[in-house]
Amino acid sequence: MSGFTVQVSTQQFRRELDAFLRLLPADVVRPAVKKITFDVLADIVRGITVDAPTRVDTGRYRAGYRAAGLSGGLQGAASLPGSPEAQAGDGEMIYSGEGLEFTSEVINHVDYAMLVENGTMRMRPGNHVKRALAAAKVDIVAVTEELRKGISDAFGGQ
Amino acid sequence: MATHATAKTMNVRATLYVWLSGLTITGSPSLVVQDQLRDGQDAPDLFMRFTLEGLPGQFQGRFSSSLLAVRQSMLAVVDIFSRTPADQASSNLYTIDKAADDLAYQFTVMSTALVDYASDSSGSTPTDARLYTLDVPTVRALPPTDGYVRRQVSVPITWHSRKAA
Repeated sequence: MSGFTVQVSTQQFRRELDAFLRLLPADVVRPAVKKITFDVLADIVRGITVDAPTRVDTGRYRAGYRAAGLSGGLQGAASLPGSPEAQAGDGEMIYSGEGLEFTSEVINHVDYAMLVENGTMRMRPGNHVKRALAAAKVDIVAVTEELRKGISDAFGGQ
Repeated sequence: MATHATAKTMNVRATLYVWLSGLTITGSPSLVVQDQLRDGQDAPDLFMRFTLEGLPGQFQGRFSSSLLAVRQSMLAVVDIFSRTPADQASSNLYTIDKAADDLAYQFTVMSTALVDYASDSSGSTPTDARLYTLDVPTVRALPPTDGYVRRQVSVPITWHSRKAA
């Protein structure tokens, strides 16, 4: 089993979102978490296929992330590659919490998923999930910096 | 204009490999790089495997009149493997945890000069180019495989590369 959890929880992002959320609908975070989750899923699939290619025999492991996206009702998940070997329950997404605590959890239930991600003595690790999450964090920091600049500009550079 | 030394990921990989090789870590694990694999026959009792994965870069502005600066990062992942024979002394079971802690600490305080091995195999040092960390490393215990217990230390490594303006 392999998977990841996405939560909009970086301290800087939270502080600046707090001010907005007092004025915006409570469910504003929900689409943001879903968008980030889909971006991470798509990046994992790209990593498996292109960036750090892993030998694909049946595509079942990769399709597990598609199944998770479909399970969570993510827009765009159907465009991710499937597999004729995919089985029911290979991927799962669980939502929990509300407001700023809204969280998505993605689980790839394919039994060798952990070995593909973390490798063995005889096989280098894919690192697909770790790399996609680190890349998402880079993007979030960049967005946060733009957000901070936007707020600063809106208040005359204060 | 030729690719600047700071823009060659080979230099980052080689610099980190040399840096890792020089660390003092509990148990003195041997070091293998990502495509060096081990099988059960010739593997040492304690070793670590180092992999680097590319992350997005961000333009930062000008480094000089002729160069632009890009903040780049790569995810460093070090997997530590420790053989666990049935008669392993209990005190040795903690060696892998101590090794993971040592490595995480070294990554936390890491700031090392980027060395240009691509144009000079003995290594020359570009000015004002350092590899460093901005995050606290993540240490995870992975399920045992192949008769080895495992720990994993990962952290993004950051530096500023330069490219022609």
